[in-house]
Amino acid sequence: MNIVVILQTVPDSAEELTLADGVLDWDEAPLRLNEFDDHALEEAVLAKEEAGATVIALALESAGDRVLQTAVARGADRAVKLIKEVPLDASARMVAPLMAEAARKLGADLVVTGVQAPGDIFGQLAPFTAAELAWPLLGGAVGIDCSADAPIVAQEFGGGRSAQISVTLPAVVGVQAARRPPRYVSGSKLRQAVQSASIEKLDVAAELADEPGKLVTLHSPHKTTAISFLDDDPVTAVDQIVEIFRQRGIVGGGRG
Amino acid sequence: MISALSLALVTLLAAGAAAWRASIRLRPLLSGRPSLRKDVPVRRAGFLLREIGLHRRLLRFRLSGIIHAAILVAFVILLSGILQAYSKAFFPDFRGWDAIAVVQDLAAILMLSAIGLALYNRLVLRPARFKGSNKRDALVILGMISLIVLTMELEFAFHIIADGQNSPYRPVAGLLATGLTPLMPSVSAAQIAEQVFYWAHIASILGFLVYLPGSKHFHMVVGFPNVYLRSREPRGRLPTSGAEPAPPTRITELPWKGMLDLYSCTECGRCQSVCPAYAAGLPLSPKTLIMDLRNNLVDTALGTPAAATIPLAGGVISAETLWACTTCMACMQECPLHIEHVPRIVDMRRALVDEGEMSPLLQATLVNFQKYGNSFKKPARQRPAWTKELPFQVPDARDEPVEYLWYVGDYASFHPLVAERTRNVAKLLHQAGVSFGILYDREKNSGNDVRRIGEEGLFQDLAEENIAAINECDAQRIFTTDPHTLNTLVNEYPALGLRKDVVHHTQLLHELMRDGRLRFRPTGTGQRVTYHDPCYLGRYNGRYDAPRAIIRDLGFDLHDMPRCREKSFCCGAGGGRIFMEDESTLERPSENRIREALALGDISLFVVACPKDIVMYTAAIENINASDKIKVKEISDLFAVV
Ligand code: SF4
Ligand code: SF4
Repeated sequence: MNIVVILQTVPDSAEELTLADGVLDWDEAPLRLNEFDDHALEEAVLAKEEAGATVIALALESAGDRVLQTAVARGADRAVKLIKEVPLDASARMVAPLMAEAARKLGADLVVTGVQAPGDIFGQLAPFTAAELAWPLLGGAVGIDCSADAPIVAQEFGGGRSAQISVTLPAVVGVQAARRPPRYVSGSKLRQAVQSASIEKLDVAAELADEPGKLVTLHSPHKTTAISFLDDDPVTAVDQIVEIFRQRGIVGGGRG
Repeated sequence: MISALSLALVTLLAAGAAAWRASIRLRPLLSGRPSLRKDVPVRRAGFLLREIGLHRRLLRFRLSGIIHAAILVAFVILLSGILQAYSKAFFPDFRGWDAIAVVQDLAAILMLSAIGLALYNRLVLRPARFKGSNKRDALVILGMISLIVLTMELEFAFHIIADGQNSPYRPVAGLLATGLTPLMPSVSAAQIAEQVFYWAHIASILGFLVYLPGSKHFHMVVGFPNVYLRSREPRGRLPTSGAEPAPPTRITELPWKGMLDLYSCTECGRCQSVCPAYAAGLPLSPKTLIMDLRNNLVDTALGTPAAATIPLAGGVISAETLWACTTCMACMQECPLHIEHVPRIVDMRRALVDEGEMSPLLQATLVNFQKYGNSFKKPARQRPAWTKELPFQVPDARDEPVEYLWYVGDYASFHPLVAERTRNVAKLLHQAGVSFGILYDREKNSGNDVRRIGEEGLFQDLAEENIAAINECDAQRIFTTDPHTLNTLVNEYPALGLRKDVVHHTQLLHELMRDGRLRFRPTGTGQRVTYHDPCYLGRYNGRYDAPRAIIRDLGFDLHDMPRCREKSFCCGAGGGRIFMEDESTLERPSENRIREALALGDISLFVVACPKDIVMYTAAIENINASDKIKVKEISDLFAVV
C-alpha cells in the first residue's frame, strides 16, 4: 500500500509576524510544518510500522527541503518535492488539483493530510483533494488502523461518541490527531537524513484552481462573557469564591 | 612434610580456575569499542602510583580511607608470607626470613585490626552509602582475608611449639604459641598442627584467588589498569559515542574501558553519597547504575540467555534513572577508581533520544531548541530584548570590532528574573569602559545542556551555527555569565573550530577591579554571606577563586558552606533537568543547599554566579519559607548592595 502524506507549511504564530497592507507579509513570515500534517505523518508512519506500507512524503517546493528531510528522519520511505510555481499564500483549494495529480502519479492508495491548516481561510486540503480525485473522504481522523484488509479510520464526536469506519481504497483521510504525539526526530537522525535522503522532484501538468474567494475583513470574536479577577488578598478571594458559588447555587445557606 | 608436588598441583588447579573465571568475565572486553589511551605513559604511571601511595581520594572519607590504607599496606607485606609458604615447600631447607618476620607479624595485627574496623564500619556504623551494595560479598572477602592471616599466624605458632624455642622475631606468633603449648600433648602433635594450618593457609589463599574474579574485590586486579587508563580529557569535554556514529545500545557495544570500569567498582558508595539525584529520592544511584551494568556484563559473559539482548537504555537501566542525572560530576569527582559515570549516562540518553523516548515536556523543549534555538520558544529577533531597558545601545559584535563578545545565553536573555541581572552586568561593564557587543538574533543556545540531554546531533547543529556567527565578529575574547555556556565554549567548541579565549563574567569583573578599570565601593560592610560554586564553573572548570575574591573585595564576610569548591552540591538544574518534571520524593537539592547555607548561622545572602542558580535558589527559598532569612544575589548584584 502506498500512503502519500501531504505536508504543508504555515506561518509560525510563535514568531513575530509582520503585516503588509493590513494582511500577513508572507515573504517575511517564518514558516513551520502545519501541526495537523505533523500528526498525519505520524499516523502514516505508525501504519507502516504496524502493517507495512510505503510512506511517501509530498510537499510543495516552497515548503523547503527541511520539511521533507524531517519526514524521512521520521520514517517516510520517499520524499517528493512538487515542482510548480505556487504563490506562498495559495489556498488549499488552489493547490488541490496539483496534489491530486501528484497523488495519482505516485500511485497513492491512501492520501493523508492534516484535517486543516491555519495558513488560509479555507485550509481544508483533504476534502478539496478528495473532490479532485473523486475518491471517498474521511475527515477528523484520530487513528488509521491499516492492519485489516481495508483500513479502519477512527473518528471522535462530541459527547464521547466515536466511530470506526472501514474505508474502501483509494481514499483521502484528513487527520485530526495521531494516536500518539508526533515522534521526536533527533538531531543525529536529521543530520543523517540531510546527508543521505534524496528528494525526488515531481512535475505536474495541472494548474492551480481559481481563487475561490477573497478575505474582505476580519473581526475579533464578539465578547459574550467577561473575566473578573479575584482579589490579591487570599481572605477576600475566598469570600469572593464563596459568593460566586452561592450565586450559582453550588452552595447554599450562610457561612458555616 | 610438605609435598611440593601436591602444592604445585593444587596451586596450578586454583590458578587455572581463577584465570578461567577471570577470562570468561573479561572476554567481552576483546570485542568492546576501541578505547585504548596510549598517551603519556610515564605520567599515567606516576599518577597511578600517587593515587595508590597517597590515597588522596580514598582519604576523603577518613575512616574508610584509613582502613583501606591499612589493609593495602598489610596485604603487600603479607605477600612475602605467601612467598615464604611456597618457598618452604619447594626448598626444604628454607627457614624463612628473620629480617621481615617481625614486620609480617605486625602486618598480621594491622590487617586483623583493619578488618575489625571495617566490620565495625559496615555492621555498626552502617553509612548510608553502603545501601544497595553487596554486603555478603564484602563479608565473605573480609572473612577470607582474616582466615589467611589467622592460619598463617597459627602455622607460625605451632612451628614455634614444635621447634621448642620461641622466636624473638615473631612476637605475635610467640604469644599464640605460649597460649597453645598446654594444648599440645607432644611435639609430633604440634608438627601435625603446623602442617594442618600450613595447608589451611594455602587453601585460604587459593580459595581467595578463585573467589576473586567473581567478587567486587576483583578491583584488586582491574583497578590498577583502570586508574592508569583514566580519562585525561577536560571534565567538560563529553566524549562522542566512540568511533561509531550511534551510541552503544547493548552491553557488548560499550567501549572496553567502559567495561573495565564496571569490573573496577568496589561498591563503596562514595558516588552515591554525593549524588544530588539520589539525595532527592530520584531513582538514580551512580553506584547501583554501575552495578546493574556490571551484572548485565557478567550475565552476558556467562552466557545467561537473553542478557546480551537487553537494551541498555530503558532495559538494563530504566529511562527514569537516566533522566534523573544532573551531570553534576560529583560522582566522578569522588570515585577512587576513576569510573566514568557521566559519559555512560549520556550515551544511554543518546539512545533514548534517538528513539524519541522522553517525557512530553522534554520533547517540547527539544523541539523549541530545534525550531527557535532556545528553550523559551522565543523568536530569534527577541534575543536582544533584554537590552531595551538599558540607557545605552549594546553594539552588534557582527558589525563593529569589540574587545569582548558577550555570549549571553538563554536564561540570561529571556528569563525575567535573570535578565535584570544581565542588565546589571552590562551597566558595570559600560561603567568600566569595556567595549563589548552581542550577537543579537544570531546567538542560539550554546548546546551544553542539549548535549548532556543526549541530543548530540542538535548540539552539533547549534555549535556549528554559533561558531559561524562568532567567527564573523572581530572580538578579542568572549565572556559569558552562564557556566554551562562557558563549559562548552571552553571545552567543546574548539574541536569544532572556535579559537577564542573564553572567560566567566566573574573573572572579567575581578580583572577590571584589579586593574582599576571598574571603580567600586566596598558595599559589604562585613555582612556575612556564602557563595555557591556552580558545578559547571567549579568542578567542571576549576574556576573557584574569582567570585570569592570579588565578594571579599566588596567588603563581605564570606563563609563557605561545608560542601564547597570541588565538593559543591548541585542545585538540581544541570544536564537538562531544568527542562524535566521534578519528581523528587525527598528534599530537592536546591532546598537542601539553602538549608546548608542557613545552618552556617547568620548568613543573609546566598551568592550565586549562574543564571539557572538564580532561578533555582529563588524558588527554593520561597518553597522553604526562608525569604525573611536569606536572599539570592548574583555576584553583580553585590556591587549595589548596601
Ligand atoms: S553526575 Fe551528579 S547527578 Fe549524575 S549520577 Fe553523578 S552525582 Fe548523580
Ligand atoms: S562507582 Fe566508584 S565511587 Fe561509586 S561505588 Fe563504585 S567504586 Fe565506589
